[in-house]
Amino acid sequence: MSESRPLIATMIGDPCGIGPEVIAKAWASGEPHKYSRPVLVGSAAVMEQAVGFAGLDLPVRVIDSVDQISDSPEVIDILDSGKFNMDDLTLGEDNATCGQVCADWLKEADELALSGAVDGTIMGPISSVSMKMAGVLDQVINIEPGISYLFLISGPLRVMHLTDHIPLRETCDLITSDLVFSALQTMDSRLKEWGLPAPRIGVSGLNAHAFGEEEDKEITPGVQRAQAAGINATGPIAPDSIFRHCIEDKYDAVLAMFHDQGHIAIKTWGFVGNCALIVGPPYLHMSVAHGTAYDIVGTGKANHEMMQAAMVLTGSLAAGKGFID
Amino acid sequence: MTLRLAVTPGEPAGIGPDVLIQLIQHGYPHELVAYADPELLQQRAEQLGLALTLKQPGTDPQPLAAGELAVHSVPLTETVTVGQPKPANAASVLKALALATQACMKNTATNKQCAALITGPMHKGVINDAGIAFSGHTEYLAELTSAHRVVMMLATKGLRVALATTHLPLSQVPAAITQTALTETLGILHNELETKFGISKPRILVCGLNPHAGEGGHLGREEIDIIIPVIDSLRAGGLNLIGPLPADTLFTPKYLDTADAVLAMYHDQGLPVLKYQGFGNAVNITLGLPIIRTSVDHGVALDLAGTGTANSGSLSTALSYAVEMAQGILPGKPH
Repeated sequence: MSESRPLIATMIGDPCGIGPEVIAKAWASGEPHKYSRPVLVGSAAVMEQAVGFAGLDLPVRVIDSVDQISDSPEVIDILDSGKFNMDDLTLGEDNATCGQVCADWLKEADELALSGAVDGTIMGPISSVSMKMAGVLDQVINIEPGISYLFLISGPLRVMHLTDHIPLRETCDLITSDLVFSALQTMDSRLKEWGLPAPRIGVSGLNAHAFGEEEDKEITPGVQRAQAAGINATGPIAPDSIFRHCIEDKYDAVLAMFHDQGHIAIKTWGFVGNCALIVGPPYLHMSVAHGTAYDIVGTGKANHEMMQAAMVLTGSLAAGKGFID
Repeated sequence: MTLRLAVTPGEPAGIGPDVLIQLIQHGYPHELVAYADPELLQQRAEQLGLALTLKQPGTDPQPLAAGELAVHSVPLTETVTVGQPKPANAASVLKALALATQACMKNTATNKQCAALITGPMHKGVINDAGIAFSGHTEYLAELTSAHRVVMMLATKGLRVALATTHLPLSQVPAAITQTALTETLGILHNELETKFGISKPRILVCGLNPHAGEGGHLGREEIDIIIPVIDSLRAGGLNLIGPLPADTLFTPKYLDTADAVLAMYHDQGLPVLKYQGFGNAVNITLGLPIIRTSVDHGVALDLAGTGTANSGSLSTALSYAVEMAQGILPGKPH
């Protein structure tokens, strides 16, 4: 194992959901260790319980700092700030305490990344209801156009969103050539950092057949500026064709104009195993696409493949080794 | 029963004539009547190196033998060069469409009545260049048949998507979705799924407009102000409607497996999914007309005209749907 493997901190997700179980299974597979040096952020007691749910026999070891990791699939290393009390656990049900502790753990993981102690973070499945109950949901989903972008990955289909949680009525006004240009610059430089030496970016249109005023006045000029700056961007392309082109490897990634445009493409093409990056923070910020699956918590049935893929991919991208399909 | 079907090849310089001539090379079980210039069809057949015997429609519709095609002559003004649409021919192309439509109308005082209209691709630009305002087949046919409101639906195997708005700029979509428009559109969709598709009490999924279908008003208010009241009111009238659902989860098997059709709020909410599911085999159906009309889902492909490389799969699917709708067989479902 090479020491170039990046340090990746995974927040264990809501204690009442399947996050801790799937993380235990993914950890035990040994795959994350091939691409990264993983460490968890959360509650050791919750992880011990989850190891049992998963039918595994793995010790959970609390460490004080990332340089103490065992770097082994046979020992789970966790940074536990002691903020969670097992008395507050309501398996399979939302509660505000769990919502609050998720926000706390996310902050701890992000601080580790910001201080340079780890190279990237992964967010286990959280409950938006619990976080809403705790009044902390805004801390997770605040994606601001021009500052951060949602980048969804579904096998060969990779889609960064120019705008995200915005009413459709307001979306069209937000699309400016400056925003398109700046997003393309961000996208190009990130893709290069992740290990694609010459990224090919397809830019979606906004309107049907990529034919309209916004294409002429904003998107095309934005793409042309990016091209003049040496970025291999093509577009605007008809939104009903561009995602298929990406799956067929004509592009490495697509810049979608708004939430449903990209999300429909990602969720409907039939690939199982999505994950999501927030592009904006100066480190890799990954999350898995599935939720807390309260109905199967504790049964050992939860499938860990998506979590495992997210852990492997985060390691690979943080090391500049590219995507793994 | 052998049917008589009216077919308009559309733009003469595009692949419309090609795919029709290619399709009848092995004959066809129903009588296809091309509303077109016979000379154009013969020229194109020669260019493609394919057989073509044109005949007049008789009293009763007859199946087509290999290479045979019935024709209702609508002469063009200028000779056609493949790949080069001419505004001078635009009036004739529209006349063919009008005559074919009339042939499908009930109470036509002739025994030459056609059971359905199947349209090839038109070139909107060249018709407008000729000084004739034309925004699309769907709108033109609505006017021609005095239909009050029409609904565009695309169908592939197992998925039917109707659109609440069609070719509007996205910025104008929210304002176009009014309670009246949505009520009428859902009414047409429900009725025609029953009458033309033979589905009793069709289950229709309705997309939201905004991300997460508005997330309780946080990401847009159209769901609360427009879509939900319309759904509630139509449900009270007996319609089986589900929604508004977030569009990105609606188009997954969990929901689609239970649905007879989906109503999308705008073009690109519904059509990209169809492209995944059945590109080349999708068919465009106009609901709300007094006639059965289906269409190919491709364009004029000027660069492919006359080369023999155009694919007639979409025309074949459009014809099959028209036949099954005319015969009252549920299209697109195994039977």
